[in-house]
Amino acid sequence: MTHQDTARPELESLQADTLSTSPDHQAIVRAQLGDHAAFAEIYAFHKRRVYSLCLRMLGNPAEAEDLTQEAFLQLFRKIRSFRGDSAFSTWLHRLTVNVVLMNLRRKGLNLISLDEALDTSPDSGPIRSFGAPDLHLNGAIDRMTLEKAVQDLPAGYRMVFVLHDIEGYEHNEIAALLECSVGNSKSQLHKARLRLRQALAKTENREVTP
Amino acid sequence: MTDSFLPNPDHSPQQAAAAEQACASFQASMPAILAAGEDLQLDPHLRSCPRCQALVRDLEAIAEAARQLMPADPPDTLWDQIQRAIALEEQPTNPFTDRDPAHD
Ligand SMILES: [Zn+2]
Repeated sequence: MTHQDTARPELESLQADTLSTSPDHQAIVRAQLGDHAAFAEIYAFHKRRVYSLCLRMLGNPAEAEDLTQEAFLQLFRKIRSFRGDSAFSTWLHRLTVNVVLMNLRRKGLNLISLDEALDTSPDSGPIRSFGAPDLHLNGAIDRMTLEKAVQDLPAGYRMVFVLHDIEGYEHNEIAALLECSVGNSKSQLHKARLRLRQALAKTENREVTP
Repeated sequence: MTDSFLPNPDHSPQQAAAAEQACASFQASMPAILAAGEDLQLDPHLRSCPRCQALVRDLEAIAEAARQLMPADPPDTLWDQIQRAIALEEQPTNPFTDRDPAHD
């Protein structure tokens, strides 16, 4: 950046990069100047995405509220540092993921070692083959049932599934965020999907034979 | 599609057990195959086993359904909480050392 002599270089680059792509670019510029009403607009526009991300990563509505608040508080502190190099929604999404991961790490949760412990847990049972015919999912997967099954996943599985399959992150991005290998992220995702399949098939069977 | 779906009534119990074992062993190796970045679809067992193909289809259907999940709204009270937190943040941390705004 060479235009340090201009008053607000961050606003110029923001306008140049996001003027046509972000529906709330005017609000962002105003919020960067300290306009509270503009910050309220940004909250209204992004609250669902941020809250849903927290809810799915954490599997718990009360914690999701706390960390949504934390994410927007951090946004309030950092919004002036947004340069418009990426889309604002992507930037806010990253900020939120980091808030959640930092919170989980502070609680001492090791996200990747979790599944190793789970694989040997006695209650998961001696599953020799997941491909048993009675496990096949028939027809469409019910959204509510899937949401519930995702919430019930162990934290390590849930994190990779949410980031990859729901939020569309690539394995190399997840590996960087979770500080694990790409291979680990891939195998973790596979195991998460298997768990979900088991949960969904159970629900299907229960509906067939009440 | 062949009708070799397990259990096949024409199979002897030994054949059925061997087929079951082949599936179990392939399925146990799936995480490692994926972790190594290899293409699951090239696996010889998967190419010849309708049962494991169905498993893979189910997993793909789950990934597809995940993309369709809708975001959820936070409770309406959350914005008030955030505003309060922001107000606290903007307060001078020590009223005795900060300038009195009345004297500005
Ligand atoms: Zn098989």
